[in-house]
Amino acid sequence: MEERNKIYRLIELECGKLLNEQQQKELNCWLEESSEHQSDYEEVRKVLMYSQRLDAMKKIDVSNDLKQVKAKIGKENFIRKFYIGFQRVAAFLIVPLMLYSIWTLVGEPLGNRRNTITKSTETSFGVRSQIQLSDGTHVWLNSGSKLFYPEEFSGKKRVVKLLGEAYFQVQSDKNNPFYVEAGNYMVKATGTRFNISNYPDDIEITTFLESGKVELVALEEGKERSYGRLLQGQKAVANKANGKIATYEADGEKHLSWMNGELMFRRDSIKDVARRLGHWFNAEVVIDDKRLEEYVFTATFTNESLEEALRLLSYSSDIEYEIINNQQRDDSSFAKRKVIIRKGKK
Amino acid sequence: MEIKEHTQELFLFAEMKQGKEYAFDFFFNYYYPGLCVYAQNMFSLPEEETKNMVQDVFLKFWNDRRKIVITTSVRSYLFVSVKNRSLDYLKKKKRQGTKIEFEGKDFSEEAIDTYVLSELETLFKESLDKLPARCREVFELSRFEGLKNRDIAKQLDISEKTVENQMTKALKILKLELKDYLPLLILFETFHFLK
Repeated sequence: MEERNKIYRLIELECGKLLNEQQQKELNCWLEESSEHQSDYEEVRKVLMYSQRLDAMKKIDVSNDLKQVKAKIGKENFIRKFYIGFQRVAAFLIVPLMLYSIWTLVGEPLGNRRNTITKSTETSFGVRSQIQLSDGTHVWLNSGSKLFYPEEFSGKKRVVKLLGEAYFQVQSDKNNPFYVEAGNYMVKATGTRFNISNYPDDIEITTFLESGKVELVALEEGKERSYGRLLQGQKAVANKANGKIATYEADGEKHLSWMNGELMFRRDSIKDVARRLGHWFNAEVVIDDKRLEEYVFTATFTNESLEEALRLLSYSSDIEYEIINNQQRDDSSFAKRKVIIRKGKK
Repeated sequence: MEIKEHTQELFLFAEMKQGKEYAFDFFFNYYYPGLCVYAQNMFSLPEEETKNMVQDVFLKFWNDRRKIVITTSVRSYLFVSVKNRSLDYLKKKKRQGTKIEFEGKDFSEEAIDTYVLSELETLFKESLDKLPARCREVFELSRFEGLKNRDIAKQLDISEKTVENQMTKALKILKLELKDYLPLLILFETFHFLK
């Protein structure tokens, strides 16, 4: 019993890997004594090892670990489902996407692409400029004018907007009429040359047709309404205040003179002269006498200064003038030069 | 493993193939603890590593359920999977320069059975029932509670000598009880082989 106790303790220690060298020797000696000892050792060891194994298995938290695995499965399922879903969506979209890319690549040059980017060109006073639009139309801008136009024309209509004065040489395209928006009116053209004057301080919008055909239209409740056509060499004057439109035979040379750097008056009323002098020289021209209203002027200026022009006008008519140079306003900016025209003392 | 159980497992596996989770849960609950301890004992793998590995085996078992063909039994499929993974792990470790203490050795299905918790539990329970009460108490405290003889003596208010005697008595009875049921230990076979 004593010996067995001791040997069994040694086997226990061996199972726990706690056996030292001395004890190992002792155990080996005992084992070699007889085959009986060996089978006894094997059997005891088996009991100990299996009980140890059973204990280890029992200590594992199976339900917790099952939860972990299920979480992993859930995650993979989600990724899988997402991937399958993605594949389906991709398969579903591939044809429309291809069609769209073909359409944008091939269809674009055919036109119809909307381009709403609006550009504008402005000329300051005393400066004229010429620009070419995307459709080939040439536009000459008089001083102190502004033109709004799309970077590229889209849709059926070619539309630009004008403030000030400009001369248009419209590229012919009957399918896509060209419109110049000026105040409440639009000048509709296909392939013509015309001049429009629409300065903000003008009381009239003047359209002069050099060649071709133009039509004056206005948008009323979304529909285009015609206000008459112009023939070659005619001008239309639309009163901004009362909307009346009158047509006259016109002097082309006078209307287009600004393009050659000339300021031309041909029997024009003093009001007209004052206004156009103002645009040309960036000045505020005031007529200080009602009696002057009947005066008409004929003159052509090219390189003259404001003062020279006024002096020349005063030679031929009974007027006096006063130039008040740009005065500083309260906000430190400078006001326009002011010109006061009075009746002369003659 | 009895034929009945094997048939039952194949039925459950067919259920699992159809996506029934209860069948998967059964396999997990039944084999997971044994597979973990198996990998730890046979390949001396760290506990955390073992758990991750065995969980991955089950993850693959579920995800590939439609592709898997069971030729022998579900249990050998699972144990062989864990064995292969363990060997892969050891090879990787070896490449990284860690010395491998024990090379896995092929073993019979019989040996696998001792790594099935419920089966080993049943076996022990029946054998432990044959022990006198005090004797059983000492054995359980020593083997399942991990107490030292000195502590057992204190707890049961008996001498350490008595504890040793009871323990020896328990081992004597149990070795006879379990003799016919339990295969020889793989480790022991190896031990002798090396000798």
